[in-house]
Parts: sequence; C-alpha cells; structure tokens
Amino acid sequence: MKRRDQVKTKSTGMMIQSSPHKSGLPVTNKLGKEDVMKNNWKALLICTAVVALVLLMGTSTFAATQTLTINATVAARAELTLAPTTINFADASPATSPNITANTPVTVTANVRTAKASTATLMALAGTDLTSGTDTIPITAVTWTASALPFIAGTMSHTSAQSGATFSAGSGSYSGTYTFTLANSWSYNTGSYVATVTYTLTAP
Amino acid sequence: MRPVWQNKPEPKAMAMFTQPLIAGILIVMGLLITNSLSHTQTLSLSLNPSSINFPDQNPTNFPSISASAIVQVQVTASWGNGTWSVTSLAGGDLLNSDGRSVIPISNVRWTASRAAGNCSGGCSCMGGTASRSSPQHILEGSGYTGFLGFGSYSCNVNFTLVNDWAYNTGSYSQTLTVTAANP
Repeated sequence: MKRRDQVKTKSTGMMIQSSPHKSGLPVTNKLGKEDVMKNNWKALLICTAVVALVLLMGTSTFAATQTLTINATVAARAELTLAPTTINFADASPATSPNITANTPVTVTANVRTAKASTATLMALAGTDLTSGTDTIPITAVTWTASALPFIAGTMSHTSAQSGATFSAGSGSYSGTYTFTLANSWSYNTGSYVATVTYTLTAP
Repeated sequence: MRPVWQNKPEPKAMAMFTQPLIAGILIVMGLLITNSLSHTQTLSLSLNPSSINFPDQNPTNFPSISASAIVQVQVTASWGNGTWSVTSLAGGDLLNSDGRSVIPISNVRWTASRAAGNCSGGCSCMGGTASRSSPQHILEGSGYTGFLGFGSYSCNVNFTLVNDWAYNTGSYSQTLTVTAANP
C-alpha cells in the first residue's frame, strides 16, 4: 500500500495519513478529525486542571514572612566642653571686696558613654598656683560653685585633682555652669597672675 | 473528484476543532476572574541582606547613624487585583548583650524608595519608624507584580538609628519581623 502524503499535527503529535480516492483505498480523513477532537478535549481538561491547581495553590498561602536582624555597637567615649576657656578676676579692694567673682561663669557640658554599671568622673587639677613672675597667689584661693547637680562646688588645687561632678552610673549628657571666685587679700603683690586648670572627663 | 489534501475544511469540521479551544479560553478566563475577585494572591518576600549593623559614632557629630547596608525588600505578588502590604514589627527594643540596657526601637527609622519592578495596581515604598507594638508599613501595593505576576517589585530601605549620649556601651541586637500579606 502506497500513501502519498503525511500531515503531522503540532498539537497532538498524532500522525494523520490520507490517500486519494482514486486509489480505492479507505478514506481516513473523517476518523482523523474525531481523534484530533478527542485529543483536544483531553488536552483542554488537562490544561484546565493544571491552571485550576495553580490558582488554588495560591489560596493556601498568601502571606510571607522574613526577619531582619538589627545590630548596634555603642563604645565608651567622653566629650567635655568648657566655654569660655579663659576667665579673669578684676582688681578690687580687699576691704570692700573680700571675694572677687570671675568676669563670667563657665558653661560646662559633659557627654559620657559608659557601661550601665560604670560611673564617669570629672576632675579639675591646676598646673600651678596663680603666678606672676616670682610672685604667687595660692591656687586654693580659687573656689567655684556649680549651678546644679551633677556638677558640684569645690576648691582648686595643684596637688590633687578635685571632683567637679558626681555622675550617676551609666551614660548621659549633662550641662551646667561653674562660677569662680578668688579670695581677695591685702597680701597679694601687684601683678598679672596666671594659672591653667586641666579638666578631665573619664568614661570608664 | 479532488484529492483530499486539496479539500477546504468544512464548517462543521472547523467547529469541531475550535469549540474545545474557545471553551478552554472561557474556562481559564473564568478561573482567573474568580481568582482575582477572591483576592487569593500568593505573596513571596525576600530581604537582602537579612542583617544590618549600626556602627559606633559620636552623637555630637552624628546625631543619626546610617546602617551598614541598604536593605532591598522584594515582593512577588501573583495574579490578582487585591491590595497587599509589607509591614515590620520589632520583637522589642534593641537589647544589650548584657541584658541590662536597651535602646528604644522607635529610634530605628527608615526611608524607602523604589528599586525595581512594577505593580499592576501601583506600589508605594514607605518610610517609617520601627515599633514593637504595631506593624509599620514599608510597602503598599495592589494587583500583581511584573508581567501577570511573573516578576517582582522591590524597595531600597535605608535604616537609620537616632544617636544619643544616653546609650550605655555594649552590643545591641533585635529582630524585625517583616511580613507581606493581604490586609
């Protein structure tokens, strides 16, 4: 039996074979269409089932969760600011002015970061007595008051550091003012006296 | 009589072939519409990276600390026209490793901007403040992402930490649960 042509359908891959009538062979066209139709319906059912399954899968999960870990590092540090950094005691009669107030209060800002159980310190240490050439005024003649806690009043010293604040444990930011006073005396020789005080803020 | 291969298809035969096709299209469209109306979208979510760090900085000079990396929040929403959102909820305040100090989680904030992708109903990246009590929105969207749900939408999220001298020293950590969900 010799057949003249072959048509391969794309959709099903089924081979349809046909012959010319004049050959006297059976016509297979009618049978081929029925097969294609059946296969098309099968393909349709399968596709529908797959689409439905995919869509229904969407109903089972419609939320998603992820976690983001946030880390932060905080290290110990201290920052101290005094303003102004120079003060002056004007000349005055000891009789009328036994105490001379400095020309300006000093604003102090202390920022500390330390452990929760640790306590920062602020210490003041004069380098020398007030000095003018060979003349001196004891630095202990200089005292100060503080506006409010944690800053505290004190007396200057060049031998031992004096506490300028009593901080509570842990970190914090503090601001206040110191007001300095010089005890006046007839015994002071004339001159321009100078001393430098070093303030140290420590955050352990 | 003409050869069979030269015959034109008969209308009846054409109908036999096209009926299943038309029926199939109608069924699929029906399923898609049903699915769309029921808002049953699948949402997938990814974060990259999944961990960020805030380095130590002087609060005076750096009142706000930027995180070590920009977090990309990526969402894929399947076919549908429902609204959905991405929210974050902190597990608590940032907790020191010694367990004794905290940094309020509300000091963690973010800004967000579109990185890539599109949404059929529109998407919006949102800035916010971390909270441990109520979910905060990072992204709001509507519809599907990409082409018919095959694609994604992403936001670049810049996290910052409000810096403060009051923070005690130590290493702090907390997790942020990020959820993509239908409202």
